[in-house]
Amino acid sequence: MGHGTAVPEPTEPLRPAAQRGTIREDARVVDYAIDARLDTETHRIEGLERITWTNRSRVPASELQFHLYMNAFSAEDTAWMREGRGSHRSAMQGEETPWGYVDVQSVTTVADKAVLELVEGDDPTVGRIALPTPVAPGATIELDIAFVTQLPEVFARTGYAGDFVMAGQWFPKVAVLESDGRWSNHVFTFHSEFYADFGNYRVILDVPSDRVVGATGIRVAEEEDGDRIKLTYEAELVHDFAWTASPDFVEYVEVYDGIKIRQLVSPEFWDDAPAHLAAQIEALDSMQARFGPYPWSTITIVHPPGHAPGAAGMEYPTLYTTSPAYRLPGPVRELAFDQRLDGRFTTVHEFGHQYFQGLLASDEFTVPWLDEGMNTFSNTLVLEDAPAGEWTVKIAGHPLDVGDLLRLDMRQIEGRSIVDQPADAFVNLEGLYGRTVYRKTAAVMRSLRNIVGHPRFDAALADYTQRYRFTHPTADDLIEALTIGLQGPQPGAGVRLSGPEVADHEAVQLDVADFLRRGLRTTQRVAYGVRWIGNSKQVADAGWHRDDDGVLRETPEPQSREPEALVVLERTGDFVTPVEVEVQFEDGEVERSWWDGQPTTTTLRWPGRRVERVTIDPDRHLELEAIRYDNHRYARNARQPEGPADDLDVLTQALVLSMLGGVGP
Amino acid sequence: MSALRRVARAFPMLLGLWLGMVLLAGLAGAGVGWMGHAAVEPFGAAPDDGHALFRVLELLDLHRSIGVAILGSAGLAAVGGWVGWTALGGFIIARLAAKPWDEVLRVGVRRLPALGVQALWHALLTSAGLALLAIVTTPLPVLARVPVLLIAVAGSLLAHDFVRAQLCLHPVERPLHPMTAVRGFIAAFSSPGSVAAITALWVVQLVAVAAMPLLAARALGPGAGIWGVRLAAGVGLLAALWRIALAIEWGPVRLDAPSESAEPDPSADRSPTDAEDR
Repeated sequence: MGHGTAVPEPTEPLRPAAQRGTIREDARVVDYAIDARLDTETHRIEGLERITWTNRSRVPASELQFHLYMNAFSAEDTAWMREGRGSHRSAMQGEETPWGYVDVQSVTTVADKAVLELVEGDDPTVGRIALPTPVAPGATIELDIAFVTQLPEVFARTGYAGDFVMAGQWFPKVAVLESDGRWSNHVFTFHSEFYADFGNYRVILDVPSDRVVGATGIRVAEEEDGDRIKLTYEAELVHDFAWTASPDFVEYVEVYDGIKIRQLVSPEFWDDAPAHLAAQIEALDSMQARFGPYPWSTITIVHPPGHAPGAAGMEYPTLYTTSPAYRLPGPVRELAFDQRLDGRFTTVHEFGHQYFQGLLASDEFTVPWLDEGMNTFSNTLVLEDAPAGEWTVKIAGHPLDVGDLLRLDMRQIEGRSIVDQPADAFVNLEGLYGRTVYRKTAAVMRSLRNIVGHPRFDAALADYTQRYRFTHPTADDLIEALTIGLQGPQPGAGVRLSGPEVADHEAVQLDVADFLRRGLRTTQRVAYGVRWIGNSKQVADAGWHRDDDGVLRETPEPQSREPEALVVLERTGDFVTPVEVEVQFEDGEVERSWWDGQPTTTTLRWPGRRVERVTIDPDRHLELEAIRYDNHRYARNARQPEGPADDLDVLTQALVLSMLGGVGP
Repeated sequence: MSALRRVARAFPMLLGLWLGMVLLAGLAGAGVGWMGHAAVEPFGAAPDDGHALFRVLELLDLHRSIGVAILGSAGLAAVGGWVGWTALGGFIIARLAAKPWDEVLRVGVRRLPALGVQALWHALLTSAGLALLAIVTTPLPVLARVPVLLIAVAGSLLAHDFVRAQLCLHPVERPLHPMTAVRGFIAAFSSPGSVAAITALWVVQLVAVAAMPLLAARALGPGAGIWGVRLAAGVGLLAALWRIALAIEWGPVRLDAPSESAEPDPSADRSPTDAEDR
């Protein structure tokens, strides 16, 4: 069995220069050459790595700092395990081999064979090596490091399950030395992921010869020796190297846009492979068009076996793990329930990380939203770009689109959590991390994109993604790029929202930086409502007034009075943002305008007209606004459409009739 | 008289039962609708913009008590329905047997205790049997298990209908005894053709039951319609009555122990109350 197994391996890890987009010359910081041998009895990897590290900072480096991520699983009192308490995404720590670790056994300099020592930090996921001689800016040092990695039974992305191995974060990896000489080497905590410099990898994996292996990069050589095989992989300009092996994997290979897409499928999920391929292609099409070319020549999609769900849903350079697709029978999907959020969305999401962290290699510990949140936002665009359209879930033919789902999520966290925080600011038990970092970020970006217009926003974001490829962008980099991209470089100038019929001095403008600050760095909630709507008579001057001589004189009641439409809008949340308002008059005419939302209430008047309905944010731009039912209001006696209360009446009747009919007579 | 003709002759009863169901459902729906309107007023519904499902979920999320009321209504309907249909069983069977109204009332009232006890035995035996069957058929693929379970439920319904019809229309020596229920099962599953016919009607009833919430859900949004749901309820009711009429048509069956009772008189279409009265 297998599909497309005859497709040859690309000859280069990167796509041809004309297709891979721009690559900064200073992107490459650290190279790894690793010899690794997998012992399938002990589930250990014995490794020897040669690290070639260049000091790209402005100051000499007197030490090298390291990530030792696998040590997160070495004991129950590590920072990661204290937070995770033995489980991750519902997968439980194994009993056969609960613990995993990486043990650095020797460190020597290549140049003079000096023996150095790696000292672990208070938390064993970080370590440092004091250098005998500082490495000057621009200079390079080579170290040989021997290590042993014990794989745990997989419950949190990395480890083994039976014959299946998913080796992620398995070798000692150099931390990032920032340009100012400060090391970014964060303890590996439950929500934090990874941060590393780009470089080239050449990795030789020595595994049993019956294993089907997938890894970051391309396979350049293989050498069989009895019941073992040595596979050599090369990857260029990546910041990590992961691999997987199983005797049960079945290959499903296709080439798209010159990229070899190789799925390693556990047999029970074989039928899912075409659906995942379609999702992968949709993601490629959408993200390449929006964020620039995917630079590497391969994508490896791993379908972990059913007994290793803890390995599912994780990204590494050019390789990621996905989760099962749950496709219901066609009639059920058509009549009752359908969704696009199963493993196919996992595929879109994990591939999206090839951009948002794979290419735009932000610090996932300090600014997790910059990859998880921006990636989730980009995933929603993939869904909308796909031929299936904007829906995510359909119940009885009624769609919930991305905005609907985000609103339901925002309701759970509104006023409670700030996006722009380090990963360890989120407590696992509070359950706010995913909704805040992933979904609130997406809601902020989608709301902004809706308000300023899709083409304008897309151009600004494309500028950011192109400019910061193969670098470590910060939150401020993105905010600045969007602010300048949307409203220009002049401070104080906003994005004009009002139509051309409104004079400049009255036009409503959006301050992009302020919008992003409120959305990402505060707990402010977006909430607008219609406080009052009605029709009155215009105020004239009937009654008693003093004339110029101070004498009271009566002005008679006018023979007829013109009506006046009145609407009172209210901002009940503390997030101030312009919002569009739609008013429908009794004569059927519909009019739209923008309210800047600055005061907490505003009264709108239309002399000579009678209003029937007002709707705030009629195009549902503000996906941050969790509660929308108070956005619509009708004048007294206006005819109203049936609403959700009427729907629930009908649903209840149907359920009661169904129950009565189901049990008897 | 054919079973369908029995149902046709009892059309006023069918209509009455259907109207009763519609009325009960309408009351429950009105209560929930009132809660929903009270929760969102004075705000109005949005113009139709394709987000009807979101608006329903938003309302349920904001006011969880409405969800509880809906589920409570459905649960009450299930439990109340079981009790109610059990209580009405005697009347329905007597009417389908073309008894005059005074006898319908007499049978319905006098046979109520026995019908209640037999309904309990039937529920116990059916639950145990289905659980056992579910375990035994575990190795089978789903596509094979579902028909097996459907046939089993249909057979069980036929068994209960046999017992109820017998209790209402013919003398039964031990009307409260569990063996009477057991013999109903024996009688039903001794006739595969009958079980097959009942399965067909049971599937119609099931489809109608499943169609009702689905039709309501598909009709969300402005202009939500209830008449399709009510029509489905009528179809389900018709199928159920037809099923009972078939049991009457195929009866009487042997529900007494052979050594303890004489062969039932197949020509008997007399009320047990007649026998008791004699």
